Amino acid sequence: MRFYLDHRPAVRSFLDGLTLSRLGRISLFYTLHALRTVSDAERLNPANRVGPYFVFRRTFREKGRLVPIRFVVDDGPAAYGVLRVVFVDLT
Amino acid sequence: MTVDVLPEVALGAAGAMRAALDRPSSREASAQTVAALLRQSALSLDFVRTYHDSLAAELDHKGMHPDVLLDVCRVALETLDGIAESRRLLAKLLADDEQKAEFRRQDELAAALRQTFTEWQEVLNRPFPPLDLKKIEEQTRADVDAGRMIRVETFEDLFPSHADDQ
Repeated sequence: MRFYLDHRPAVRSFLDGLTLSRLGRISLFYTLHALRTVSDAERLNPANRVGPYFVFRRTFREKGRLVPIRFVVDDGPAAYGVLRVVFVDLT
Repeated sequence: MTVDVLPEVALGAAGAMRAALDRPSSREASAQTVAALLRQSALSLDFVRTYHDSLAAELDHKGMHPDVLLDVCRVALETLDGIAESRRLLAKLLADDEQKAEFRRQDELAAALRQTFTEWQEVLNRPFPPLDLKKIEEQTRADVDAGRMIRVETFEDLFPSHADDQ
Protein backbone atom coordinates (compact mmCIF):
# COMPACT_ATOMS: atom_id res chain seq x y z
CA MET A 1 0.00 0.00 0.00
CA ARG A 2 1.20 3.49 -0.79
CA PHE A 3 0.48 6.03 1.93
CA TYR A 4 -0.02 9.75 1.82
CA LEU A 5 2.21 11.55 4.31
CA ASP A 6 0.90 14.40 6.41
CA HIS A 7 3.51 16.32 8.38
CA ARG A 8 3.11 18.50 11.41
CA PRO A 9 4.33 22.01 10.53
CA ALA A 10 7.12 21.68 13.13
CA VAL A 11 8.35 18.52 11.44
CA ARG A 12 8.47 20.11 8.03
CA SER A 13 10.20 23.21 9.40
CA PHE A 14 12.78 21.02 11.10
CA LEU A 15 13.55 19.08 7.91
CA ASP A 16 13.51 22.19 5.72
CA GLY A 17 15.88 23.92 8.14
CA LEU A 18 18.46 21.14 8.34
CA THR A 19 21.89 22.19 7.13
CA LEU A 20 22.29 19.68 4.33
CA SER A 21 23.92 19.68 0.94
CA ARG A 22 21.73 19.39 -2.14
CA LEU A 23 22.58 15.68 -2.38
CA GLY A 24 21.88 15.22 1.32
CA ARG A 25 18.40 16.72 0.88
CA ILE A 26 17.71 14.49 -2.11
CA SER A 27 18.90 11.48 -0.11
CA LEU A 28 16.65 12.49 2.80
CA PHE A 29 13.72 12.95 0.41
CA TYR A 30 14.10 9.40 -0.92
CA THR A 31 14.70 8.09 2.62
CA LEU A 32 11.39 9.59 3.68
CA HIS A 33 9.83 8.40 0.44
CA ALA A 34 10.39 4.84 1.69
CA LEU A 35 7.89 5.58 4.46
CA ARG A 36 5.15 5.85 1.83
CA THR A 37 5.58 2.22 0.95
CA VAL A 38 6.52 0.86 4.36
CA SER A 39 5.35 -2.69 4.86
CA ASP A 40 2.77 -3.66 7.46
CA ALA A 41 5.36 -6.07 8.81
CA GLU A 42 7.73 -3.21 9.64
CA ARG A 43 4.98 -0.84 10.73
CA LEU A 44 3.33 -3.30 13.09
CA ASN A 45 6.51 -4.90 14.40
CA PRO A 46 6.49 -4.34 18.20
CA ALA A 47 10.19 -3.43 17.99
CA ASN A 48 9.16 -0.39 15.93
CA ARG A 49 6.31 0.74 18.22
CA VAL A 50 6.51 3.31 21.00
CA GLY A 51 3.22 3.91 22.75
CA PRO A 52 0.59 4.37 20.03
CA TYR A 53 3.21 5.41 17.46
CA PHE A 54 5.22 3.71 14.74
CA VAL A 55 8.88 4.67 14.79
CA PHE A 56 10.44 4.72 11.33
CA ARG A 57 14.23 4.71 11.55
CA ARG A 58 16.57 5.14 8.65
CA THR A 59 20.15 6.18 7.99
CA PHE A 60 21.39 8.23 5.06
CA ARG A 61 24.63 9.97 4.19
CA GLU A 62 25.46 13.65 4.10
CA LYS A 63 28.84 14.50 2.58
CA GLY A 64 30.06 11.02 3.41
CA ARG A 65 28.87 11.27 7.03
CA LEU A 66 26.29 8.83 8.33
CA VAL A 67 23.07 10.48 9.58
CA PRO A 68 20.62 8.34 11.58
CA ILE A 69 17.14 9.85 11.57
CA ARG A 70 13.98 8.88 13.44
CA PHE A 71 10.44 9.69 12.41
CA VAL A 72 7.61 9.21 14.90
CA VAL A 73 4.49 8.37 12.95
CA ASP A 74 0.87 8.36 13.99
CA ASP A 75 -0.50 5.50 11.92
CA GLY A 76 -4.00 5.76 13.37
CA PRO A 77 -5.35 6.84 9.95
CA ALA A 78 -3.36 4.14 8.10
CA ALA A 79 -6.59 2.39 7.16
CA TYR A 80 -7.44 5.53 5.17
CA GLY A 81 -4.06 5.52 3.45
CA VAL A 82 -2.58 8.31 5.58
CA LEU A 83 0.43 8.39 7.91
CA ARG A 84 1.02 11.43 10.07
CA VAL A 85 4.65 12.31 10.70
CA VAL A 86 4.40 13.92 14.11
CA PHE A 87 8.01 14.12 15.29
CA VAL A 88 11.50 13.81 13.85
CA ASP A 89 14.99 13.90 15.29
CA LEU A 90 18.58 12.95 14.56
CA THR A 91 21.27 11.48 16.79
CA MET B 1 22.61 -10.73 -0.22
CA THR B 2 26.32 -9.95 -0.43
CA VAL B 3 26.59 -9.70 3.32
CA ASP B 4 25.72 -13.40 3.50
CA VAL B 5 28.79 -14.35 1.52
CA LEU B 6 31.25 -11.97 3.17
CA PRO B 7 32.19 -14.43 5.95
CA GLU B 8 32.63 -17.13 3.31
CA VAL B 9 35.03 -14.88 1.46
CA ALA B 10 37.02 -14.24 4.61
CA LEU B 11 37.07 -17.89 5.58
CA GLY B 12 37.97 -18.86 2.05
CA ALA B 13 40.84 -16.40 1.93
CA ALA B 14 42.10 -17.28 5.38
CA GLY B 15 41.70 -20.99 4.75
CA ALA B 16 43.53 -20.91 1.44
CA MET B 17 46.38 -18.92 2.89
CA ARG B 18 46.64 -21.01 6.02
CA ALA B 19 46.66 -24.19 3.97
CA ALA B 20 49.47 -22.82 1.85
CA LEU B 21 51.38 -21.49 4.82
CA ASP B 22 51.00 -24.64 6.90
CA ARG B 23 52.83 -26.71 4.31
CA PRO B 24 56.28 -27.79 5.54
CA SER B 25 57.86 -26.01 2.63
CA SER B 26 56.12 -22.73 3.41
CA ARG B 27 59.17 -21.26 5.11
CA GLU B 28 60.77 -21.34 1.77
CA ALA B 29 57.68 -20.37 -0.20
CA SER B 30 58.52 -19.48 -3.73
CA ALA B 31 58.06 -15.96 -5.01
CA GLN B 32 55.24 -17.32 -7.14
CA THR B 33 53.41 -18.73 -4.13
CA VAL B 34 53.75 -15.49 -2.20
CA ALA B 35 52.57 -13.53 -5.23
CA ALA B 36 49.53 -15.80 -5.49
CA LEU B 37 48.74 -15.34 -1.80
CA LEU B 38 49.08 -11.59 -2.17
CA ARG B 39 46.62 -11.69 -5.07
CA GLN B 40 44.22 -13.76 -2.98
CA SER B 41 44.48 -11.20 -0.19
CA ALA B 42 43.94 -8.33 -2.64
CA LEU B 43 40.87 -10.02 -4.08
CA SER B 44 39.34 -10.53 -0.64
CA LEU B 45 39.92 -6.91 0.32
CA ASP B 46 38.59 -5.74 -3.03
CA PHE B 47 35.43 -7.73 -2.42
CA VAL B 48 34.89 -5.94 0.90
CA ARG B 49 35.66 -2.58 -0.71
CA THR B 50 33.17 -3.21 -3.52
CA TYR B 51 30.60 -4.14 -0.92
CA HIS B 52 31.35 -0.98 1.05
CA ASP B 53 30.93 1.11 -2.12
CA SER B 54 27.55 -0.47 -2.89
CA LEU B 55 26.40 0.26 0.68
CA ALA B 56 27.57 3.86 0.37
CA ALA B 57 25.63 4.21 -2.89
CA GLU B 58 22.49 2.81 -1.27
CA LEU B 59 22.90 5.14 1.72
CA ASP B 60 23.28 8.09 -0.64
CA HIS B 61 20.33 7.03 -2.75
CA LYS B 62 17.56 5.97 -0.41
CA GLY B 63 18.97 5.28 3.04
CA MET B 64 18.99 2.04 4.97
CA HIS B 65 17.45 0.67 8.13
CA PRO B 66 20.03 1.22 10.90
CA ASP B 67 19.68 -2.30 12.31
CA VAL B 68 20.41 -3.79 8.89
CA LEU B 69 23.43 -1.55 8.47
CA LEU B 70 24.64 -2.35 11.99
CA ASP B 71 24.51 -6.05 11.21
CA VAL B 72 26.37 -5.45 7.96
CA CYS B 73 29.10 -3.53 9.84
CA ARG B 74 29.53 -6.39 12.29
CA VAL B 75 29.88 -8.95 9.51
CA ALA B 76 32.24 -6.71 7.51
CA LEU B 77 34.50 -6.20 10.55
CA GLU B 78 34.52 -9.94 11.26
CA THR B 79 35.43 -10.49 7.62
CA LEU B 80 38.29 -8.01 7.87
CA ASP B 81 39.45 -9.79 11.04
CA GLY B 82 39.54 -13.08 9.14
CA ILE B 83 41.50 -11.53 6.30
CA ALA B 84 43.88 -9.84 8.77
CA GLU B 85 44.60 -13.15 10.47
CA SER B 86 45.73 -14.76 7.23
CA ARG B 87 47.69 -11.65 6.28
CA ARG B 88 49.66 -11.87 9.53
CA LEU B 89 50.92 -15.25 8.35
CA LEU B 90 51.59 -13.93 4.88
CA ALA B 91 53.62 -11.01 6.25
CA LYS B 92 56.35 -13.43 7.35
CA LEU B 93 56.90 -14.66 3.82
CA LEU B 94 57.40 -11.38 2.01
CA ALA B 95 60.76 -11.40 0.35
CA ASP B 96 61.25 -8.56 -2.08
CA ASP B 97 60.46 -4.85 -1.99
CA GLU B 98 57.72 -5.15 -4.58
CA GLN B 99 55.83 -7.66 -2.43
CA LYS B 100 56.32 -5.53 0.65
CA ALA B 101 55.01 -2.45 -1.16
CA GLU B 102 51.93 -4.35 -2.34
CA PHE B 103 51.39 -5.66 1.19
CA ARG B 104 51.56 -2.11 2.58
CA ARG B 105 49.06 -0.92 -0.03
CA GLN B 106 46.67 -3.66 1.03
CA ASP B 107 47.23 -2.77 4.69
CA GLU B 108 46.21 0.80 3.97
CA LEU B 109 43.04 -0.34 2.20
CA ALA B 110 42.18 -2.75 5.03
CA ALA B 111 42.75 0.01 7.61
CA ALA B 112 40.57 2.47 5.68
CA LEU B 113 37.75 -0.07 5.37
CA ARG B 114 38.02 -1.01 9.03
CA GLN B 115 37.91 2.66 10.03
CA THR B 116 34.78 3.32 7.96
CA PHE B 117 32.86 0.32 9.28
CA THR B 118 33.97 1.09 12.86
CA GLU B 119 32.86 4.72 12.53
CA TRP B 120 29.52 3.65 11.08
CA GLN B 121 29.08 1.24 13.97
CA GLU B 122 29.80 3.99 16.50
CA VAL B 123 27.31 6.37 14.90
CA LEU B 124 24.63 3.70 14.68
CA ASN B 125 25.10 2.73 18.33
CA ARG B 126 24.48 6.31 19.47
CA PRO B 127 21.07 6.31 21.17
CA PHE B 128 18.30 8.70 20.23
CA PRO B 129 17.08 10.93 23.07
CA PRO B 130 14.00 9.74 24.96
CA LEU B 131 10.66 10.73 23.44
CA ASP B 132 8.17 12.93 25.25
CA LEU B 133 5.09 11.10 24.02
CA LYS B 134 2.65 13.24 25.99
CA LYS B 135 3.98 16.43 24.40
CA ILE B 136 3.97 14.85 20.94
CA GLU B 137 0.38 13.76 21.42
CA GLU B 138 -0.76 17.19 22.62
CA GLN B 139 0.98 19.05 19.82
CA THR B 140 -0.32 16.61 17.21
CA ARG B 141 -3.88 16.94 18.45
CA ALA B 142 -3.60 20.73 18.35
CA ASP B 143 -2.25 20.70 14.76
CA VAL B 144 -4.83 18.18 13.54
CA ASP B 145 -7.73 20.00 15.19
CA ALA B 146 -6.58 23.31 13.70
CA GLY B 147 -6.19 21.79 10.23
CA ARG B 148 -2.48 22.61 10.15
CA MET B 149 -1.20 19.24 8.91
CA ILE B 150 0.73 19.52 5.64
CA ARG B 151 0.40 16.94 2.88
CA VAL B 152 3.92 16.18 1.63
CA GLU B 153 4.24 14.51 -1.73
CA THR B 154 6.95 16.28 -3.67
CA PHE B 155 10.45 17.53 -3.00
CA GLU B 156 9.10 21.09 -2.97
CA ASP B 157 6.51 20.10 -0.36
CA LEU B 158 9.23 18.76 1.90
CA PHE B 159 11.85 21.44 1.33
CA PRO B 160 10.01 24.64 0.36
CA SER B 161 13.14 26.72 0.97
CA HIS B 162 15.22 24.55 -1.35
CA ALA B 163 12.88 23.82 -4.23
CA ASP B 164 15.67 24.58 -6.73
CA ASP B 165 17.78 21.73 -5.37
CA GLN B 166 15.88 18.99 -7.09
